[in-house]
Order: sequence, then structure tokens, then C-alpha cells
Amino acid sequence: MAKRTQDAKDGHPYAFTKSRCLPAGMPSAMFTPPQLPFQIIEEPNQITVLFEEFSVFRIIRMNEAHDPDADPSFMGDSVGHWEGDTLVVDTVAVSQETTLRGVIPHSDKLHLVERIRRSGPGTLEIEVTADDAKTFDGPWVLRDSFQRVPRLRLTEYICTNDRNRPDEAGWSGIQLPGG
Amino acid sequence: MEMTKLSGSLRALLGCGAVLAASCLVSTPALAQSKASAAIPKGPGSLSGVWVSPRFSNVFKADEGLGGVETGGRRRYRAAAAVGS
Repeated sequence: MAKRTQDAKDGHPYAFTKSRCLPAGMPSAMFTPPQLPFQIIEEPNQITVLFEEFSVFRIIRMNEAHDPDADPSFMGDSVGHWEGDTLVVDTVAVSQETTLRGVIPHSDKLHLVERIRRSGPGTLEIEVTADDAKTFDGPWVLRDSFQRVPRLRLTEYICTNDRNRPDEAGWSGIQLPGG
Repeated sequence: MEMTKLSGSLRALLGCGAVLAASCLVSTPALAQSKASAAIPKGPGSLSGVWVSPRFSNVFKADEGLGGVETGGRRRYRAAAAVGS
């Protein structure tokens, strides 16, 4: 974090995942930009979240334990259960590529607990508590609310990166120095 | 009769005065709260749907004010209709 802060002061702000055409991942994924909706699909054993941003999805397995062999991933390994009217989601195995608030790093011990509930006839409230004993002095709490839009449909989202565009000779990919 | 023996709604009604009684009863906080909570879907099945940040409608209004709807694309046309419904 200190290095990222100093780099920013030196004019080289940290290039977080979205600036590289990669999804934000957890926990930032749940706090979408205003223009970009997400869709929740509930099934008895699984809750799926579709994000318009980067056209990615997230699966929450209901009433199950974590996969002990889960590989780190942008969305992590998520299991959920209901506590009264609140969906409680527990997430581990989050890739260290992801950040909190776009710049704050975390370790492989990041543990997220989300509490998701309807706060009004057309509103949803999401509260995420992020704990990481290897990185933070105490838990972070991120909170936001969302509005339901009945007739809105997700549309395709494609992130393009000019650095990967084929050159005049038809070659694409990273050009190494002297290459 | 002592006020402490009255129900919350009746106390509120008396507090508003006889002339405004009808409108005051409608706006009694306890009643309004029970109406609102009855309309809130809860528990399993209540989360399904498409959600956006409430700031979304403000984005559209800002664009409209700048005459930027055309450049905002189809998304903003559709969303505006949906949000306004």
C-alpha cells in the first residue's frame, strides 16, 4: 500500500484491474458504477449474479461449506444462507489481483461476509465486511443501496484494449523490448 | 383520561387537533411504517431482479440537461423509460 501511495504521488497511479480490461472482482464487483446494472437470479441451491460490467457472473452456493481446494479467483468461493430476511454470503479464495476501493491490496486471507436484504419496496441494501488479519488492523465495512428497475435488461459489455490489437503485420500481444 | 393510557395512534390523533384529524391519522408514523413494511418483499425470492445504483437516474438527468441523450446511447433511453415507470 505504501508503494502504491508513493507511486501515485510520483505520477504513476496504480493500474487496477479494470484499467487493464479485467473485472474488478470481489468485493468491488458488488458496488457497480451507476450506469451498469447487475441481475440476481435465485434458485433453491444457488444464487447467480450477472454483472453487465465485463459480462461476468458470480455463483453463490446455498447451504454448503466452502470448497477446501478452491483456487483463487476474481469472484472467490462464495457460500450463502438465509438469516431471517437477510441473505448472508461468505466468500474466501479471492485472487490478490482484486482490490478494495480500486487500490487497497489484500492477502490470500481476505474473508468477506455480505449481508444482502430488501430495504424497501424497490430497494436493495448490500453490506460487505472485509477482514484480512494479514493486511488490515480491523474489518472494513462497505455499504451501498440499489434500485430495482423492472424492465431493464443487461446488455453485452466488451472491454477493448488497444495494446492487444494486431499490428500492421497481423501480430498481436505484448511487444517485448527489442522484439 | 390520561395520555399514558391511550394507544400511540390515538395519542398522535389528539396531538394533531380535531380539525386536521383525518389527514393526521393517515400520516401517523406507526401506520405509515406498517404499510411500508407490508409492501417490502422479504427472504428467499426477494432478491431476484435487475438492480442499479440510485445514482443511475441522476446520470440520465445530467445528460438530458446537457443535451447529451443522443450520445448517451440506447442504454440511457431505455433506462430512463424504465426508471420513470
